[in-house]
Amino acid sequence: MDKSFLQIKTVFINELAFTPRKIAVSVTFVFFCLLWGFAFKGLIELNEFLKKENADAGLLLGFLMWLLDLDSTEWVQIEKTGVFFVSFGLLALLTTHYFVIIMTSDQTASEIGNRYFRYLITRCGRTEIFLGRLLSALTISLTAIALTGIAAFGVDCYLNGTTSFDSVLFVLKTCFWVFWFCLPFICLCSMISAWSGSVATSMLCSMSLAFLLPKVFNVIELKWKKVEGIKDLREYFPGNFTHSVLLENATASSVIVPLIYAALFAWIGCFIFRRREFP
Amino acid sequence: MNPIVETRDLGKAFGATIALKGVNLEIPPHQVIGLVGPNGAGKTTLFSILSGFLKPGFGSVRVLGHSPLSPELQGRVSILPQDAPLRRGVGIRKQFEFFAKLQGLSQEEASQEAEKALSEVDLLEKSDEGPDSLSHGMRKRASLAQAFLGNPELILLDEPTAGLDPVTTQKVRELVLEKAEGRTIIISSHNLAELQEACDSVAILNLGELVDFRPVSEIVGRSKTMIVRLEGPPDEQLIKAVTDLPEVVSVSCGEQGNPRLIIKVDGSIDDSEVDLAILSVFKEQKVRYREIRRGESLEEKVVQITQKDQSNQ
Repeated sequence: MDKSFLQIKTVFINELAFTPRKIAVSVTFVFFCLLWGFAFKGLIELNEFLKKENADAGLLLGFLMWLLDLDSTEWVQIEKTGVFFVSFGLLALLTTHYFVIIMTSDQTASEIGNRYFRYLITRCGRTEIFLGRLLSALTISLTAIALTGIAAFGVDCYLNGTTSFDSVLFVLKTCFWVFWFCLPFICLCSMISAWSGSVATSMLCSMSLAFLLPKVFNVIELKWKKVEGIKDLREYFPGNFTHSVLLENATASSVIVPLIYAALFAWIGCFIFRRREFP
Repeated sequence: MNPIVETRDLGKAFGATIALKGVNLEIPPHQVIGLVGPNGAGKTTLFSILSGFLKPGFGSVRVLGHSPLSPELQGRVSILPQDAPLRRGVGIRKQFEFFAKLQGLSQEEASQEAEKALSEVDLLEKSDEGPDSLSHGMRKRASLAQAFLGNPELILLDEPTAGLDPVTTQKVRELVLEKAEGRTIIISSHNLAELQEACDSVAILNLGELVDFRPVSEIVGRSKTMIVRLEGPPDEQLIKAVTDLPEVVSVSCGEQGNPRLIIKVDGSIDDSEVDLAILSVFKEQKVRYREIRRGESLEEKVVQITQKDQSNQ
C-alpha cells in the first residue's frame, strides 16, 4: 500500500481514538446532546398537545410556511412531511454547524502551540498529518449528526407507533444536508487552525464567519430585493440554506457550492500547514 | 564519505534578532557530535532547521543529501525536541507504536520496537501510563526513547540530560554511546562534562556563529596542557621552577579565587616523563595540590572561546 495512504490512515485512526479525550469535543458533545434532548422533548410535547386538544396543526405549519417563505406547491410537500420532521430538519440546519465548529476547531492548533508536532514531522509528511486530522474531524461531525438522525427517527417511531420508509428517507436526507452544510465550516476550521496555531482563534474566527456570512447575505438581499433571482444566491454563502433542501427540490448548486468551499478551505489549509514553521 | 549534515552560509533571523549567522558546517557520518554554546547561541534554532521545523532564512542546508523537508528523510532523522510534551492521557507504549507505524513499521514490528525502546530506558513497567503520571525524569527518558525508534541514521538530541539525576545521566550517556554504533548523533547540551565524555567532536556556537568545530581532544588540548589545581595561590618561585623545565613551553596562572597553574607542555615528549618532571618540582617546592589533570575541561575551553569571540566583536 502507498506510504502516504498508510500514514493518513495511521494519523486518522490515532486521532479518532484520541478525540474523546479532547475537552472541546466531549464538552460540546454533551451540550449538543442536551440541546437535542430538550428539542425532542419539546417536539414530543407539542405533538401530544396537538393530538390531545385535537388542535389543527395548520397554524403551526402556517408559521413554518412563513418562516421558510414557502410557495403553495412546497406547502403541500411540507404538510406531507409533518411538523416533527420539518422542525427537526430546520433546527438541525440552523444549529449543527455551530457545534461542529467548536468540536473541530482544534484539528492542528493546540499541537502546533505545544510543539507536539515535533514528534511527528520527522516521521510523517505534513500533508498526511493534515489530511488524517481533517478526515478524523469529518468523521466525528458525521457521527454526531448521524446520532441526531437516529434519535429523530426513534422519536418519530415513538410518536407514530410505527416506522415508515418515508421517515427513514427523510432522516437520511436531512442528515446528509446537515453534514453537507457543515462541510465548509469543518474545512474552514482546519484552515484557520493550521494558520493560527491557536484553538481560540480558530474557534472565534470560524464562529464569527458562520454567524456573519448569512447576515451579509441578508443585507445584500435587503438592498437588492427587487433584483430577479436574488434569493437563489443564498446558497452561495456558507451558513445559509434554502428550504428547497428540506423538501425534494434541491438544486445542483446546493450540492456543489458547499463542496467547492470545503475543497478550497481544505486546500488552503493544507498549503499553509505544509509551508508553516513550527517554532 | 559524504557529510551527513552540510550547511552553507546558513542564517536565520526572527525579526531583528539574528539567531544564526553564516554557519558552515560539515558533519561526517558515524560520529557523536556535541553542539555547545551559551544560551541564545542558536543551538535549538540549528536543530530546528535540520529537523525541518524551521526554514533557513539564508544559505542552504542538506541533511543526508536532501533538503530537511524532503519525504526521503522520513524516519531517517529523529529528534528529542526540547520542551515538547508527549500526548497527555495516552499510554507511552501506544504513542511509541503510533510513531513507529508512521515510520512505516507494521503493527507487530511497531509493538516490538516500542517495547525495546521502553526497556532501554527502564520504562517498560510504566508503558501503559500517560506522560502526565510520570516524573520529570521519566518523561525525559520517554522522550529520549522515542528518538531511537526504528532505525534513524541521524539522531538529534536537544538537552537529553537536562533535569536528570547523576545515575540516570550516566545511563543516558551509555545508551547514547551504544546507539552511536553506525549512526550520527548530534547532542546539544549545557552539560559539557558529559559531552566531553561522549562526543568525538564539538561544534561551538556563539551569538549565532560557528566559532569552532574540532575533535574534543584537540579542543581541550589533552596532550599539550596540564592543569594543576592548588591549595593556595602559586608563588613566583614555583612558577619559575616549572617554567624552567625543558618539557614545559609556558605557564600561566588561574584567575583570582581559583588557584591553579595551566602548564603548556611539549607535545612531542612522553606524557609520563612530563608528569614526573612537574611532580618532582612540586615535591621540591613542598607545594600541596588538589588535582592534576591532562587537558583543559571542555567547559573551560568553551568559556574561553566564547568570551574571546565576544570581546573580538
